[in-house]
Amino acid sequence: MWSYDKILQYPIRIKNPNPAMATLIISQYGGPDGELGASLRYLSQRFTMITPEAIATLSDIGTEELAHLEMVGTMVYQLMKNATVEEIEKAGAGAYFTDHGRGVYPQSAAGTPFTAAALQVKGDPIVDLTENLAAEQKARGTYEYLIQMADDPDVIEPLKFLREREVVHYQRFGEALRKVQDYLQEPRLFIMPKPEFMNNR
Amino acid sequence: MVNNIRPRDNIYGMNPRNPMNVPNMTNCVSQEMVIENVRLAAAYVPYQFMCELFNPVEALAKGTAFPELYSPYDGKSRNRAQ
Amino acid sequence: MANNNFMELRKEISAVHMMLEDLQLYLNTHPSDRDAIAKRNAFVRQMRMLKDEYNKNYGMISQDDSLSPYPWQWIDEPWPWEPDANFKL
Repeated sequence: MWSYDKILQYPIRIKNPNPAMATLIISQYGGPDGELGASLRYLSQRFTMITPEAIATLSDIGTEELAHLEMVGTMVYQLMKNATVEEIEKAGAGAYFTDHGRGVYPQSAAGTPFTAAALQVKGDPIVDLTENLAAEQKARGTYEYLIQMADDPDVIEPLKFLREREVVHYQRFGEALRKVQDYLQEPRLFIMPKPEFMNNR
Repeated sequence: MVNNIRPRDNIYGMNPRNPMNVPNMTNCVSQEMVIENVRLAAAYVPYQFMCELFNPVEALAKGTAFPELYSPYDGKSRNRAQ
Repeated sequence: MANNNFMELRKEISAVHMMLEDLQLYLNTHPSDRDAIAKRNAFVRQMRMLKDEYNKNYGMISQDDSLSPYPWQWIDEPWPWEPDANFKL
């Protein structure tokens, strides 16, 4: 179950509109390596994960990614907010404006609407945690590309924060994988199955 | 250090940074330096261990409470020489 | 109350939340780290005080544990995604 705190995880206060940047940053909202996908992936994987340590990690990081989703949406909102239609068009964001105005719509930088095709929930603990290690690197890499393109410190600082969180998440998923590996290597009690004729008679 | 015992079973609450419980020990190592009994076809990320923490405002600014996990980015591409 | 304290309190709440977030994730994979539990619990107590003070003077950060005056305060502005809700770090 979720509660909502009415404050961003990290402060975002962007003074200068930049529609071009907005349509790039939107990729971390609804794109293949973005926060919506990350959150959905982790929150879905936790149902079939094993070991309390790994399950808690999925649940809590999945929750934190929603807070990051909110931050990315905030950045897009603030970057578009005071841009004139002329500025938006000149920045090459006319197509986005046509379909969504100044709204925040989950899509990739290239315009592909959000899809779960970019995520996997295999139901196998080693597969899922390995998928997540890759996901955190993809997100970190994307934030690095965005930071390389940005020049406004009001934009760069929150992007750097989000990038650092991906580094921390990678470490946690790595540790969760260790816990799962240890658990799977432990010898376990073999439980003799009940013979068929004992059931339902 | 591979902990094969489920944490709740460890009644001594062993502190990996100070397994012999020496008081006032300041030589805190914030990560596993050696991983033992590794198997083939498996990936291993070393465990981190908490030593010092950033103060809260600094932690918020940097994006983590742990100095050993802080990875500053200079904004340059790592893909080519610049 | 001066607007300065509104921003200052939000900054302290966000900063303590960062400590809680990171310590809680750490504890999920290090459940036997006594020191980490103690530090995390200390931040919980600090957060309770900060949120109480914020609630008394400015409004509601979370719903279930915050009292509201009349009229219903949860819908107050500014919303967190507005520049005016965000302090300078």
